[in-house]
Amino acid sequence: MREPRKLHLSFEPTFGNVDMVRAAVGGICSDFFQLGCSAASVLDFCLIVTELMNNAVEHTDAGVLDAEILLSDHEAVFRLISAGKGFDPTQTAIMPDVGQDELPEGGYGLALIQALADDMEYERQEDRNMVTLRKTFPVQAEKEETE
Amino acid sequence: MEIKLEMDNEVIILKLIGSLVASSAEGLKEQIAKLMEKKYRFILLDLGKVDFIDSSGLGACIAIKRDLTATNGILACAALNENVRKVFRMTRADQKILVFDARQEAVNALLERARASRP
Repeated sequence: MREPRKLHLSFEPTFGNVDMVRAAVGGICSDFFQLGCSAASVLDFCLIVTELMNNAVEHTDAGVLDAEILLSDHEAVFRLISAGKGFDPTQTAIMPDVGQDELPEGGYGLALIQALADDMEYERQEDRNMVTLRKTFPVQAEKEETE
Repeated sequence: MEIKLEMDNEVIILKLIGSLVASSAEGLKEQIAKLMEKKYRFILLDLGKVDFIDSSGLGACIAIKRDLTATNGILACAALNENVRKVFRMTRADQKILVFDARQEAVNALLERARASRP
C-alpha cells in the first residue's frame, strides 16, 4: 500500500493556468498510478478537472482558485475551492440534444463531468464553493494489460 | 496550440498541434473567420497531433461547422485520436460533424464536394 499524497495549488482563474494545472494533474497521476500518460483513466480525470476549472474561471468572482489533489491507492480526488455566488454542479446535466438541426456550442462540460467522474460532491461554506471529484484508477487491470 | 495552414485546391487544411481547449479555442475560431472572409468554404481540421480536447475546443468545432454551413461550406475533422474521438462520441458531435479516420480521405471527400458545388 502506498502512502497517500496530497498537493495544494493556488492559481489565478485564467484558462492558461487551467492548462498548467491539468498538465500537473496528468503527470502526477501517471506517475503515482504507474500508468502511461495516454492511459484512458488519466485522460478522463484530466478532462473532468479541466471542465470543472473552466467552469470556475468563467463564473468565479475570486482572484484565486484553490485546488487540492489527493492520491491514494486506487483513487484520485480533485477538490476545487472558489469564492463567488453559489453554483451546484451536481444538479443533473443532460448532454445537449443531437436531434435538433444544429448542436449547441456549449453546455457539455457538466454533462461530461457527470458521465466520467465516479463521484462528485458539492458543498458551500460561507461564500465559497467546494466541489470534489473522485475517480477510481484500475491499477491492477492496467498492469495486467501491459504484461 | 500551433496551427499550420495548407491548401489542396479549394480545400484549406488546418493542422492543429497541441491541445484544443478553452485557452486555444478562440484563436482557432478567429483563424477560421479570417479564412471565411476570404471565401474559403471547404475546411479540414487535421486533428492528428491534437492530444487533448475539452468542451470549449469541441464547442469551437461546432461553431465553425455552424458558420460554414450557413455559407454552404463544409467542415470536416480527421485523424482524431482515441481520447478526442471519445469526446466527440460522448457529446454526439460525431453525428453532426464529418469525421474521417485519415486526413487524405477527408481531403478527397471535401474536394469531391467542392467540385460538385461549382456552377
